[in-house]
Amino acid sequence: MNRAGGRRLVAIAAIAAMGSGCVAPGPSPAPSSGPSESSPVAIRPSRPLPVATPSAGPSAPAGSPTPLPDPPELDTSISAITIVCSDWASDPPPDLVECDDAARLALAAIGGEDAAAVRRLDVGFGDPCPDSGACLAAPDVRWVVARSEGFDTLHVRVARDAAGELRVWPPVEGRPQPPPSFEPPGRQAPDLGPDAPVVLRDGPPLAFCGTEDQAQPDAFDGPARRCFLGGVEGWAGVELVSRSFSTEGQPVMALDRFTGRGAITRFVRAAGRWTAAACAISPIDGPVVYLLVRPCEPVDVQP
Amino acid sequence: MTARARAVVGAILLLALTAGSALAGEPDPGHADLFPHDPGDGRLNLDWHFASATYPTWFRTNVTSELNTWWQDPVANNSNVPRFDNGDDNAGGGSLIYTSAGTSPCTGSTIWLACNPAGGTRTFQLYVRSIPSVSAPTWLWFQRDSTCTDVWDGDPQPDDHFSTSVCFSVLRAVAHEATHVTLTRNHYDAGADDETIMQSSTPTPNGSPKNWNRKSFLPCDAAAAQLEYGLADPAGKVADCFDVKPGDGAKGLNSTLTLSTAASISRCSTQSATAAGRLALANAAAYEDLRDSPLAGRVVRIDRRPIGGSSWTTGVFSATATAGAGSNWSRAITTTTAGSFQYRATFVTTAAETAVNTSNAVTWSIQWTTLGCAS
Repeated sequence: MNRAGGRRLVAIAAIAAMGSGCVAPGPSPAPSSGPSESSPVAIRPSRPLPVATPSAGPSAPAGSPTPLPDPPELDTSISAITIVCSDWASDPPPDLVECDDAARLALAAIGGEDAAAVRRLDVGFGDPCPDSGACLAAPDVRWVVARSEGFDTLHVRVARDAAGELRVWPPVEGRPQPPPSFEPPGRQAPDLGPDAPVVLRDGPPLAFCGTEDQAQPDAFDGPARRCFLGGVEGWAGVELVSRSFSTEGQPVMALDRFTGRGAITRFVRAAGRWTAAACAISPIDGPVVYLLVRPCEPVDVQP
Repeated sequence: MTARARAVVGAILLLALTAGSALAGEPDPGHADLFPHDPGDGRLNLDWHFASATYPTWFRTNVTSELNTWWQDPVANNSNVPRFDNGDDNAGGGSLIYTSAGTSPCTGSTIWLACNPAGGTRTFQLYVRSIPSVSAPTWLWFQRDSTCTDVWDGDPQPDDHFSTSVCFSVLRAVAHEATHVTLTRNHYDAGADDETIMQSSTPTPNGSPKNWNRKSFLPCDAAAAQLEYGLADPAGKVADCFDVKPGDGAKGLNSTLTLSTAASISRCSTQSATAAGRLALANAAAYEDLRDSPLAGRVVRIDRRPIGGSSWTTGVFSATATAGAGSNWSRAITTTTAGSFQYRATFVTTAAETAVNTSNAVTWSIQWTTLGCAS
């Protein structure tokens, strides 16, 4: 992230006490001190916003939310960022703030070179919890934790107001958060057939989590899927192959691929052709372990 | 935005030009008006019938509701894609075939759930595999007993000798095949779980906890249907799956605001002056049947400033657009003071308007006078 002008992302005592159990559901850690609203800040994505530095305790970010009903187009490609979206376990209520909305607004709020330096976004639900007391997940509030290559961390609050508009707060600095450790399996290039896209054929092999055979539906390979998710959470390159059949009976092969940075890419070979998309990932409870979710971007597949 | 914002202009052109490319978060690939449709055309009804009167009641009931009602849900599917209506006569049109055949009539595969061999025809055939059956003893349609549990194992129902362990939604499978009949022959594996029902594989409850039993379109299916067949209700939602390309704004679809009344007039300050024009989606060829669609129900904000002034007073008036052709918004402008004012109208998008960008602004001026006016 941008450190020009003497600005540096520093550890903040309040955020140092982040508790992963406070923002629920989902894996995103959150500041223990919850921001609240104060004065307005205009969102000008072409220029970095001033970073609010919260005081210790359950106080709030400097600056107040700004509605962004018509957010600007982003310079940053979503596919360059790893986005991990918490799952709202039940059917989403109408006021839920979508993960991709929160991600895009957070990047807009961070803005400029700082946004270009973001490597990972963890998007959780609800406000951070106070140091004491329970907290509830809220569908209309999102906390976005943005991290750079060097694990410098910014937190951005996105929420829907009473009128239904999305509002975003200025970013708050957090302490650097390195990823959890991950023990990768061996590197191996899976057999994808002679027509595999060139990026898969010619690229260096990644840690291979296994091949899942879903000729029988629901035969999810839990260990392989947890391995893949572990790689994503550990910022480590991983691959997973899944073989299944289409509704109509044609063979389908999917390769989930994470190079250690950027989006999670799913390559699918079906009906004799490859397609691919770079998406966010959402860990979920249950045997499937994770789903790829919006935002997605197209990936041009070169045969 | 729920900004899945996804493309139209570039996307559609790209789809047409590069069949091998994969576009995620975009209207379903390969989408086409398989039943030809131009802007302004009416909506087709596709008659259909069950191929046999002996199919189980649960199957008939659920499939009838799916095709006649749920697939064309006006919220999820705000398009003029042909709708299905069996006319309560179980005769004519397409055939719905429930078969225990172990081999797919469409692909020859032994691992299949449903299929449709050809789209774009009123005499379509839509096959649904009977499960559980000898060739697929562990598979089950959820709707048979409203459960994924094997209840026909002697407890509480008599043993049917099928040890079912995996279930699917016959509603989603039929919705998927109905979309092959009308909108696209392709699958959309680059689409996320919550974007489309047109992935290659039909998900189980474990594979897609939120959408395995989806009865109607997801946003990228709806976007494709709107492009090909237009909006059913211009006041309804434009699907949130139009990619953002340079020039498409943040949400993917551009809106156009015009002024059809005079750009400069003089009027007694005791009277009103009506401003009118059209608010619609851009009239771009790539928008296909969405081009120039009126943005009914959307609010045009009218601002005012003194001529020569630098700051606008926003929201002095507003007008709500209608679904009409030609001018579809108007507002009687009044004043409490004489003088010369400039007015500016804009459609300002909202968070709820997930696919349409703020419009251009149109301006006009009014010289409010008292000279020669009846007091």
